[in-house]
Amino acid sequence: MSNKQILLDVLSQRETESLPWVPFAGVHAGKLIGKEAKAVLTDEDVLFDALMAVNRLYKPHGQPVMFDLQIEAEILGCELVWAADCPPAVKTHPLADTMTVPCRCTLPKASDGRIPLVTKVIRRMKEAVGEDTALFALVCGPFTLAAHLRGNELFMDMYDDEEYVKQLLAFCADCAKAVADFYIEAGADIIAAVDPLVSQISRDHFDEFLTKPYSDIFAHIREKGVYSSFFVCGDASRNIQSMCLTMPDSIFVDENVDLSAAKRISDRHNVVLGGNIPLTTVMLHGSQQENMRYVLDMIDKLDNTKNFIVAPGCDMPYAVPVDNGIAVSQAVLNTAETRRMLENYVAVEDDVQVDLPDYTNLDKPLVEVFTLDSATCAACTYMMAAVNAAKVLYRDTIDLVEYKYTEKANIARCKRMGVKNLPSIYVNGQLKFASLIPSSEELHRVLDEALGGV
Amino acid sequence: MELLLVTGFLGAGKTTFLKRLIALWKDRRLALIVNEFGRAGVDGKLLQELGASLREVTGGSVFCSCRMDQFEEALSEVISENPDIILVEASGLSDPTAVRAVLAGFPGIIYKGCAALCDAPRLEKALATVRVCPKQLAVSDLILLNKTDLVSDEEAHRLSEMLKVRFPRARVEKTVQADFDPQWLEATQIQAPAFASIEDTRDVTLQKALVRVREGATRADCEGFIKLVYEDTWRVKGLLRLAEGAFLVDCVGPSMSLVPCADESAGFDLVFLAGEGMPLRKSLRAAREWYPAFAQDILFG
Repeated sequence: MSNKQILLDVLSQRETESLPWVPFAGVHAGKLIGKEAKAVLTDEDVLFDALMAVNRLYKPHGQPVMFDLQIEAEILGCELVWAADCPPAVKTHPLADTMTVPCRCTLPKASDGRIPLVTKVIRRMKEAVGEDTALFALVCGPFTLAAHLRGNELFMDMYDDEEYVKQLLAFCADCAKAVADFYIEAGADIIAAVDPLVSQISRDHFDEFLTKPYSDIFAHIREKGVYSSFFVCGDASRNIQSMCLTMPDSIFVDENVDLSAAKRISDRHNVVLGGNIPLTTVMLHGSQQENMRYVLDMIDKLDNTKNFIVAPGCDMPYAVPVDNGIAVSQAVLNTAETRRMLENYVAVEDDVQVDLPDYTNLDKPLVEVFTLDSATCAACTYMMAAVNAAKVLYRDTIDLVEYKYTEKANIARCKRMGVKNLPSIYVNGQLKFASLIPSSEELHRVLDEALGGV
Repeated sequence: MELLLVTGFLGAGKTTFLKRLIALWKDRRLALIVNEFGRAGVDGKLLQELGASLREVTGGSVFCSCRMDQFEEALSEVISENPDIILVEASGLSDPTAVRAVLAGFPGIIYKGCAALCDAPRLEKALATVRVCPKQLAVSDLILLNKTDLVSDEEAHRLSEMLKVRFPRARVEKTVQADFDPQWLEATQIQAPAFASIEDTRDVTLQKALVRVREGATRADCEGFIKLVYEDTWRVKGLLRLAEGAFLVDCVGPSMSLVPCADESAGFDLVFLAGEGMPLRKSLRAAREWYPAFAQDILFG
């Protein structure tokens, strides 16, 4: 069964043999190919290449095509401020000083702003990986879009002029539906309405202002025959039940929500829940072991794993170490093996001794590849394949060995060598490539240098 | 190196307050971290003349309290410049508890406290609509009830008293144009006088509820349960026997404290107090659905 089918089965509330995983790699995708956030969010080829790198390295069941909540706002007149390592921020709010609802004639068209960029990339991704990976297309949720347009005055309006807020939200919901249609037409499998500001309002305000627009959006997506998601971030715990009642197929939450407790509520409504690996403490700053451990603990805490998707809490920070993404992927795709690895990691503290080669007196260059397991981890497979291809070319002039993290002795060797990232390539005991797969040119250059030095 | 946190909803006078602070501390090396595009931002030129530096934490993810890495980065950069004092203006929508969590990772910083600006004419609207607003006030050491010239004296007094009751750990002062007495800042980080218990307040509108906690309930369940309710309370208190041991639970508004204690009298009752119109009953019932292993019974008084 394809990864995509596993994800779609979960979204259809079917039992599956394994859990799906969806890395929310927005700007982080750029890091995988050495490109800044703005290039990823504005250049079709860069975006496509970055998404393909995500697909190759993280082996996802589903992936977002572009994670930027400012696309609609930009079309509707908000000025953006761009940054190198995160999505743009909205700087100006066109309705800040005018309490009006824009004319429906201003709703985004297929040719407006960056929509053509997104639809083109959806088509290219569909062609390239669409059989095995479900594509999420993201639309800005009506409450966040209304705040982009009106600014923080929106919160005061909810108190002063409820009717105005409802009309503005209806406009923003129409905007979400219009943009969703373009993405569905291009081939998106899942439309996610992303609304971080939902966590800023009370349950009563959600019920009063957002139940209707969201119910309309999800009904519209259902009619179009694709799946829907509701992404929120922050402590949205108190709104989870109300969110379920708007009938999305799935809800994704971040680390501020107690996942196992929230799942009891979402299960009652038969809504799939996704989340919620902490973005900063675990994905950005944690080690590979910590990332794997977090995923296993998260799964173990759930009463049941039906209706569940593993995902980061929200858009991954740009600088998340690639090996942490790989570690999460490994933990989801090969849960039992990862569990054994971590048990071994603890067990080898004292009882396994390894001897390292005398790197200063080698007969020929020694290439050591440290992998989680090249048979199961996608990034490790690619890295090992690159080195194997070089070995064919360099034949007996170099020695090559793979150390899989699945064996205790190899874990001990990693500790002794101080290997921090898996997969990694060491040549003559020196780290040469960590996490990212080298091109054949890069690898040959390193090997040639080593041959010259032996 | 000292750090002062400044919070408040947009339009409450944060920028005016910051300008006054900058002028007050003109002889000290200042660094500012702001994370919001204000309509009238702090004047970069003025800062430059004073030798102060400014860093904006921007990005589409500023709404997310889980994305504090940008703030961490800005703080690290500022620290490398070795200023005397760092002023952090938290966005009108940011949760200051997240900012405090980041500061815990920088032991060289002396946290001077949190000053919150409130816009008197709009205070009650903000408290009613913006969930983070009471959170900001609950962790503040100094609350400036600003723009009191735009309301009557009676109204300013009423609002000030309301703030004192709901946020008893803070010093509350009335201001116009954020014009403050520098001595008030010295009072930050000094705990407010012992809290006169709310239940002693003769208020017929006070709502009370008692949650009978199950034996064997965990600390995590307790924290999760309270988190779902505390925004709709003035106070939560109890001496609880949980799976991990005895804990003194004491929450004032949306801020939580669970302190391990050795009290033999710890039991299974948790008391919730709330003001008129706060949806305490609804919240408690919802929290019980989330944490059935925590709450055995809920009794409304």
